Amino acid sequence: MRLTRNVHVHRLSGTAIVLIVAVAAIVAGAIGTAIASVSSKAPPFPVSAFQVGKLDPSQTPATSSSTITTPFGTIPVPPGYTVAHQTDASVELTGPDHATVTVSTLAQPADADRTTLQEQLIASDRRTLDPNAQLCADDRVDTTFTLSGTPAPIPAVFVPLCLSVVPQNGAAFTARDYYYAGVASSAGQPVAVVISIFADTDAFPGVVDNLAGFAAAVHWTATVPQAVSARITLEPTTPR
Amino acid sequence: MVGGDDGSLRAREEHFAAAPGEHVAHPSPFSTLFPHLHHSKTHQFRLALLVGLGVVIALASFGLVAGALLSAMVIVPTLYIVYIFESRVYGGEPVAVLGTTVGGGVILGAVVAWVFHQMLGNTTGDDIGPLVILTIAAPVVQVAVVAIPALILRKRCGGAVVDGLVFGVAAGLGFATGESLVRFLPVFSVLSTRSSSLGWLYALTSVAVLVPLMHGAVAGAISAAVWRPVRNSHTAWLQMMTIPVVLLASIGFSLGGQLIQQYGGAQMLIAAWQVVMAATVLIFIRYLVHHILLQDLAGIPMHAATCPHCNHHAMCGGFCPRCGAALTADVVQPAAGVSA
Repeated sequence: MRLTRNVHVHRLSGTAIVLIVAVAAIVAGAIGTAIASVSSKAPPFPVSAFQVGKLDPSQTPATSSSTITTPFGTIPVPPGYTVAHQTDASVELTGPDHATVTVSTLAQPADADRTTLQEQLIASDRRTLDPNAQLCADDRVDTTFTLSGTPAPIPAVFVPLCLSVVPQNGAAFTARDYYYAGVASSAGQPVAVVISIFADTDAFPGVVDNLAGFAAAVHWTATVPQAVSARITLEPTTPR
Repeated sequence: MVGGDDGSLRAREEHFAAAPGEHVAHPSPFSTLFPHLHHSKTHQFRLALLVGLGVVIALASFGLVAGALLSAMVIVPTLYIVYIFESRVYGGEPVAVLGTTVGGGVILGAVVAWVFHQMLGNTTGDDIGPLVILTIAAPVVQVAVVAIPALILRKRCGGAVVDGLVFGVAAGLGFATGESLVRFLPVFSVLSTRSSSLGWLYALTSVAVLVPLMHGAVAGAISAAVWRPVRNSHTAWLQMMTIPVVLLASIGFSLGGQLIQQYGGAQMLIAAWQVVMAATVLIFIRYLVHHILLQDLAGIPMHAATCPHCNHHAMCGGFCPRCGAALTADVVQPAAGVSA
């Protein structure tokens, strides 16, 4: 009854199977690399200097129908925006095109300055949004700004970051996170004041138009309570 | 020897009918999703998968993240196309079968992903509206459509439930590739040829393994369950539970990952959770296929055949008398000169 003849015929040897998969992977990798190389030469929807200028805190403050009063200052709510989240140390506004504006205060070490603050902001985005976050090539860090504050204007730095965001679900997209941030003093303790404007790259010019004069209209009291100051980290400022 | 000497059903309840060396609840992707695979071939396919993943790792380590992503998208579908070719499950129409299942799946996956992207725009999905759409509505739609390319072949190809499983897996793998293309192409322009691969490890793992495994298993389960009408009450409940089980697992896959990320969980934890969800579907498929095979093969009369698992040629019923494999889950080779 038992026969030993082997009639099973394989079409492919083990080597052929491995080679087919390896070649497919290498060819696909080469195509992907070529696409990235070619498409990276195209301008990544640059935001013009004129548009960025609309955000300049030294510009005329925008009028707003409503204002939020917080322990650290007053914040106008731009048209089309709503308050998504608010604490004693931060306010997060969401607007059209999933744009997110975060206004917050951050405890800082004694030797904090605008340079260390800039490094913290970049590190924060790299940790929470994109490990490859970097300064945008078409914008530059600017340290000529001041933010409106009491008792005195706060020297600020403009930090434009460009990102590629990969959500857990949904399509990946390129985005910009523009920071206007300064270091103030409150009760002898250094605190950072930070405005973050986050939106995807395609929508960013429109978002900037909507937020013209916003940064100038935020008024900082820079009197962060010690209890709040002690527990604040950079995490709450991360835009969603 | 796991079955009876005559290939009967004795001692088979805990041994997976298509791979009797494994417990039916063992969530092995190869013996579950590659049910026709000859035992001696399994390690070759496993090696091919490892080589493919090695290419992805090499590309990523050189900073070629875009290339690594595209490479990750094609590894498992390519492996499965080779498997279908090797197992000859396509009958005499390889182009039609592969075009309908894998090709149809790619198009369907791309269209579904594109529609949801148009609905939501660019969002991280953290707000409640996008969260519900991306983690509940999207899986519902995926479960509803992912097996369609395979089911088109149901009347045309007929055949065993295991063939339905294979066509379903092929459609699901195509779906995963189409979805990943739409998901990641928007960022190719910023993934210059020397991007840092730091932070892309989870995305690459997801694209190469987790998402294909999940979509392939879900589509395979649905296709196997509805490949033919319910014939008896013993397997009916398994067939009827298929849609609820894969739907819950799909929602769990997406929603669990999103919530873990939002609450600051590590990417490794997200990957582990998603592996659990995929393994759940795999185990369900094994029970489904196992019980259907036991039912189908119980009444098969003795005939001459060669077992592709162990190459043993003998008179047998539904199972090989040497290794115990279910013969309809394989390419049965009729014996020359012996009437079956």
